[in-house]
Amino acid sequence: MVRERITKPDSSSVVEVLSNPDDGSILLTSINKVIGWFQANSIWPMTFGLACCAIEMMSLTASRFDLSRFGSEVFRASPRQADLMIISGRLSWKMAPIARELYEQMPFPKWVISMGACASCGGVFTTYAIVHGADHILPVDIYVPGCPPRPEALLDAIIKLQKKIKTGTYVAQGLKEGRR
Amino acid sequence: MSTGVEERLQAALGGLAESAYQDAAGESVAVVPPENLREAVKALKDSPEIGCDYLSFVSAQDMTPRVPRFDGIYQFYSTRHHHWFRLRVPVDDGKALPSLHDIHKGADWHERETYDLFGIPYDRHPDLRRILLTDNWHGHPLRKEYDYKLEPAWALGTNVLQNVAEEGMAGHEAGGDEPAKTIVLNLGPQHPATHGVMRLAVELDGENIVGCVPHIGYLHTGIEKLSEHRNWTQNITHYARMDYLSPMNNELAYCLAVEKLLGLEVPKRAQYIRVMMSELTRIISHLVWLGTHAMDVGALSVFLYCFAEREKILEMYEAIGGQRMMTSYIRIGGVRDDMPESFPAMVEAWEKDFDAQLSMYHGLLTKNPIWRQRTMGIAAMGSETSLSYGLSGPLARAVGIDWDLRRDNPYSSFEEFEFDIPVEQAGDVYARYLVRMEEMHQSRRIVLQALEKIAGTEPGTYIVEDYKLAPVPRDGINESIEELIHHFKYWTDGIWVPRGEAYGFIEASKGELGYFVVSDGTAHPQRVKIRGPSFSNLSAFPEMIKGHLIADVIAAIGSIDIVLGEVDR
Ligand code: SF4
Repeated sequence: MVRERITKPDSSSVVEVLSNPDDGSILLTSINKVIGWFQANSIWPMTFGLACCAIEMMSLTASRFDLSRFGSEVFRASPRQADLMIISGRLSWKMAPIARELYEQMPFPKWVISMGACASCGGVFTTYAIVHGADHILPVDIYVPGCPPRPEALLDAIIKLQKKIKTGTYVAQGLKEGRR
Repeated sequence: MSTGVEERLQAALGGLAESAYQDAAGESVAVVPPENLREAVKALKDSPEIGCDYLSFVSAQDMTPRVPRFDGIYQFYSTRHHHWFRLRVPVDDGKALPSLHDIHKGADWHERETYDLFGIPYDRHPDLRRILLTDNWHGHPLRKEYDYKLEPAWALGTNVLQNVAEEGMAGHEAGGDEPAKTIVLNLGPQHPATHGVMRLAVELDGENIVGCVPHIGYLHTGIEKLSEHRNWTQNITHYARMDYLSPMNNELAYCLAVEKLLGLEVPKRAQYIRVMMSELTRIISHLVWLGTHAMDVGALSVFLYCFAEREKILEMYEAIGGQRMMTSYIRIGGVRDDMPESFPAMVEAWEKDFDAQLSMYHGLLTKNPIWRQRTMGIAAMGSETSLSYGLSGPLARAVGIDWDLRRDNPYSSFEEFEFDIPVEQAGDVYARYLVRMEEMHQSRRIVLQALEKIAGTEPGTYIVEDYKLAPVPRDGINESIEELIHHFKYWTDGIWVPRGEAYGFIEASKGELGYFVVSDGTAHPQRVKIRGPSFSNLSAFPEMIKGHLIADVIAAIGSIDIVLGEVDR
C-alpha cells in the first residue's frame, strides 16, 4: 500500500489525510484528538452570573455578539450538564463554598474561565467580603482582564480555550486519573 | 426643602426630641433618645403636617471616640408632603435600640443589616440574624476598628445548602408523629431566574406557597466600608459597579450628595447632560429587566430584541464615557468630559427607531394571552403595605402611589422638563410591566428635550471651574505652574469636603436611590450609607408571594427587578 501525505499536518489539524490508491482516501487521527475536537466546538457554559461581568456575559450570548457561532450558546442552569464555568464577577466569601460545590458537581472534563478583574484578583474590591482571586478556591484555566471585559474579550477567551481543548490532553489526563 | 420644617418637626415631636435643627446642607434632623424613638416615629407618621409614611432606610454611624459610641440613623419621607426627615438616635455599644418593624414593616431588613454590620441589637425584633454576612462571621465590618482588607479565615467546604430547613423555616416544623404537610424547596443561589445570586427558601404545600424566606448577601462586597478608605472621587468607581444595570444613576446620586455638602452649583450644561444620561440609563436598565423577565416567563425572543436595542445605547455610553458600562462619567461638580459632537446624531438615529421597537415589545407581550395569564393578578400588594415596606419606583407607581422624585423633589434641573408619570392601580406583575414600558417611552421624551437644552448652552461648560474640585484641563498644565500645582493636588490629595452630612437621592430605574454621606472634613468620607431601592423592594417579597403557586415566584422576582449588587452592596 502506497501512502502519500496530501496535507501537511500542523499541530492544530485534527486529522491527517492519507491517500490510498485502492479506494480513495483514508483519514487518520487519534481518539483523543477527535474527542477534543468535538468538545471544543460544543462547550456548554453554566449560567453562573455573579455581578456586573455577568451582564456582559449575557450580551455575549445575545443578538450582537452571538456566541452560538462558536458552538457555546447552550447555557445550562444545572452544573451537571455544563462543562465550562465562567466566574463572571466578584466572588464573595459567602458564595465561595457554593461556587466550589457547583464546580465539583460538573462532570469531567471541565474548564473554568475567570472573567474580569474581580474574579481574577479582587479588582477594585479588595475588601473583607470578597475572595481576592477565584483561583484561591478553584483551578482556573483562563483569566480575562477588564472591568468588565468587553464581550469580545470573553469571546477571545473561549476561542483560546477551544484551542487548548483541541490538543486532546484533557481526555488522556482524565483517563489516567480514572475520572469519567 | 421648605423653611420652617424644623419648627413643625419640633411641634410634632414635642418633648420627645432632644433637639431639632436644619443642618448645613439644608436637611432637617432631630436627635431623639432611644427610649423615645418609637413614640417619635409614631408621632411623625400620624402628624398631619409631617406625615412620614415612608421609611427610607435605617442605618448607623460609628462616632468613635464619642460616648455613646453609635448614632442610629433613620431617614423618613412623606409621600404626601414630599419632604425628608432624619432622626439621629445616640446609643452606646452593647445597648439595644427599639425595633420599628411593627410601625414600618420595611425596618425589619434594615435593622438586620445594621445589626450585621455594626453589631447594634434591636429590641423585640422578630428575627434578628445576620443578613449580608454568614452566620459564623466574626466582627462587624462597619465598626471603625475592623480592617477593611481583612481576609476571613473561613473554612471552605461548609455546605450552605444543608441548613435550608433550620435557617429557612424556623417555626414551621410539623408537630409530633404526623408526616410533614409541607416541603421546603431551595431556589438559588445558583438559579437562572433569581437574576443573580439570591437564595429563596420556599415552603410549599403541594404547589402552593405557604412561606418564603429570602437569603441575601451572596454578593456582599463591602462597598460601604471601602468608601471610607478611598477618596471622594475614587468612590465613584465603586458605585457604578453597585447597581450594574444602571451605572450612571448611581454616580449621579452620589455626586448630588457630595455637591450638597460642598454647596456646589453645577453648570447647566452638565446638569442637562446628566439628565440625558440618567434617562438613557433608565432605558437600558428597563431593557434588561424586560428581556430577562420575559425570558423567565418563556418569551425568549423579547430578550434578543431588548439586548440588540441596549447595544445602541451602550455605544452612546462608549462615545461619551469611553466604556460600555462602567464609565465613571458623572463626576463631582459636573461630568468628566464634554459631549462629543457626534453624539446628537447618535441619539437621533436611535430615537427614530425606538418607538417602533417599543410597540413591537407591546405587540409581543401586552395582549399575549400567555403573558397576561402569567402576570395578571400575580404578586399584587396594597398601597399601604407597599409604603410600609418602603417600596418605591415602578413598584409603588403600579399600586397607585403617584410619587416620582423627578417631579416631586426635582434635582439636576428636572423641573424644566416635561414628562408624564405613569401610574397603575392593580399592583400586580402586569401593572408593573405597564408602568415600566411607559417609563421607557417617557424617558425618550426627556432625552430629546435634554438634547435640545444642551444645544442652547455653551460648549465646554461641563464641569465647575474650581480647580480644587475639578481637574485642570490638559492645556492649562503646560501653561502655568499654578495649574500644574492644582493638577498635582487634585490627583494626589483629592477633594476635601467640609464637615457635615447630606442625603443625595434620585429616582433611579428601580426606585428611590439614595446616598447618605458624612464628611469629617477630610479627603475621605467618614460614612457612606447606600440606600438601594432593590433592598427594600425585595424585603416585601415574602408577603407578595404568599398564597401563590410556585411558578409565580419566577414571574414575581422578574417584576420587582432586583439587582443583587445593589441589594447586597
Ligand atoms: S470586574 Fe468590574 S465589572 Fe466585573 S464584576 Fe468586578 S467590578 Fe464588576
